[in-house]
Amino acid sequence: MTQVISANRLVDGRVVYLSADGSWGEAIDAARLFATANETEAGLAAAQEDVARNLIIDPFLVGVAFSGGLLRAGSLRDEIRARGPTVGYAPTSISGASAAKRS
Amino acid sequence: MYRYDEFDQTFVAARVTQFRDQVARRLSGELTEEQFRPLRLMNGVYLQLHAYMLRVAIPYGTLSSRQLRKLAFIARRYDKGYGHFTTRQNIQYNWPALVDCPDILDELASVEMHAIQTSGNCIRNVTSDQFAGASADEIEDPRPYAEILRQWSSFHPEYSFLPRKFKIAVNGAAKDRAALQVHDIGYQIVRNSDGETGFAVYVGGGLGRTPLIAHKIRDFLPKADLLAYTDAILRVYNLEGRRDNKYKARIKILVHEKGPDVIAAEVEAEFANHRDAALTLPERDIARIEAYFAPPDLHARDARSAVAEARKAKDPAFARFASQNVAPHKTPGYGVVTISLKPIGGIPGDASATDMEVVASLAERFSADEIRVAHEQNLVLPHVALDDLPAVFDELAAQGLAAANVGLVTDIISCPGLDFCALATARSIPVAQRISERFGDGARADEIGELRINISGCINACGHHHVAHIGILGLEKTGAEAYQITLGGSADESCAVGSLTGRGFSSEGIVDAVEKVVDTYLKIRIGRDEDFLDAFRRVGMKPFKEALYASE
Repeated sequence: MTQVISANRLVDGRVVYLSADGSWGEAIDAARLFATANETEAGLAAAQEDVARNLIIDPFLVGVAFSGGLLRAGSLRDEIRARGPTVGYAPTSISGASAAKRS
Repeated sequence: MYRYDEFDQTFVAARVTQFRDQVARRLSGELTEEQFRPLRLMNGVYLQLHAYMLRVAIPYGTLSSRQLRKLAFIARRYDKGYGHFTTRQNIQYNWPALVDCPDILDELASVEMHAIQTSGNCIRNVTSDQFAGASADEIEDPRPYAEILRQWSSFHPEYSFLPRKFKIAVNGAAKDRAALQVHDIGYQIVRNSDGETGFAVYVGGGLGRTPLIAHKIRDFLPKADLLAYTDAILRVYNLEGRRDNKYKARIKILVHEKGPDVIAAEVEAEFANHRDAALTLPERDIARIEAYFAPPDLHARDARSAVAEARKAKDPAFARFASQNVAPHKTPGYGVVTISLKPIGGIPGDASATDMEVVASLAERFSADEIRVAHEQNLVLPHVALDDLPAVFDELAAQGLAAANVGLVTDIISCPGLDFCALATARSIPVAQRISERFGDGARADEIGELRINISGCINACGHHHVAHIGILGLEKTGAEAYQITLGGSADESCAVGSLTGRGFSSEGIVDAVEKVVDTYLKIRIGRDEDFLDAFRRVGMKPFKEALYASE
């Protein structure tokens, strides 16, 4: 089963994925894919190093598959983590300044 | 309204300084996540599905305009422009950065607010009737006693590591609007045969995976003994509550396992040993706190407002709002206005920063500067002159806050569910939105009458589904969302836990199932005067089951 490694970024708690270049990004589509047990073991070890470097917390494996041209997480929970809430939660009247601050 | 004294202010400021240092030490790596987690939780900072979540305490759901404006400011400056009002009368921000949390707590402290004891196994925010101090049916304002409990329980060293969290509610009207009987302790203000007011004491209620209704262990507790008796209950619980199993650690399990009579006897014995000690409340201290909650200076008006009546006659939307969202006030010529945070198809309990500012402005001009948060996830303007009702309505309508659906089928309580919550097993908000849209037509909702639908996204029951007329519990079943229905629950003085209809429904099928339940009620009710709960109590589960599972 193909897997990616996800975590929450320490400074702001946002969901992040381990990329091929070893950085942590918010897009699951840019996540590094792990296909074998040896690869995932090495990936998790690298993630633990980033835990120790205070970059991320609680890294874990997420099963994924390609569907409709997108990388989809195997469970609804992980898919919502990856794509955000399924409801339109943020008011449209939010000011540009504050929206920019968090983007 | 209670104002922080110097002691409170100093304490909260010191706590923010301490937390700022802890956050800095966490970010630098001096503290590990394991070391830091309990510290952030003690300051209301959770880690949820997408980000940190900050839960801010709103004691007994009472806010000033200044405080609500500050909540709006925080939403806009540090979050995504909105906040979520909860079933605990609190507000949660879903997207704060950890690095910003000390600044947010500083902002809160500047308006006498904080996030202390919004998490952990301690005494949580004391909740109350959102109509307190205003409602016509009130025996006495419960907030001074909620405030006395708040002061006593804040940073209480003996009760900062209880077996599990502990929730106290106080209600002052004959109608229980505070869901007393599903709290660890519920204090109902009553008047005895001598005309004195005191408390009937309920212990051992709670929802979650084991819903239990509280037992009344005392008919009348003198007001002076409020803290001594609370202390006695907590001492018994602290000593005997289970610490070996998180799911059996609430006082409700202790009361259930030992029996309410045994617990009552133990509490009375503990109380007898300590009642004349330091915790007896002096009359002057009660009076001092009561003074903070003195009724606003509302000048007498005609009970019937010619202005409001004229508007009702020509504007059906206003008439509907006045009928559905305005409750009788104890002062003639005034009303208690509930602002529904349940627009059709909206997210229950969410308010944008602008919404909050509009409500704050209205409170300042038309409601003695007071706002309340209802556990049903609505806001309340408690002291509105009926003559001002058209102006209030117009401003609410302009902001999209004039949904006239309080207590109706679309006034749905919903937890954040799997869209936000790390514990959830299914989504709740989209189900609430779809039900709201299905029944959104005002005439249909009016025809159905009072109906409480509550939705929880997991068995922890933050959405209070057990005590809804129609309760919905979202679960995960073989990888898909599934929803169970319970019927006949109630959170008021006739408190009851709903009964499960049978097998659950898919996400696609749940709204149709709810509609079948509603249609069945409309068929069987004797008349419009028989609301859903009365009808269910008369006929039982059978016709509803037949309607839901007829094809099986």
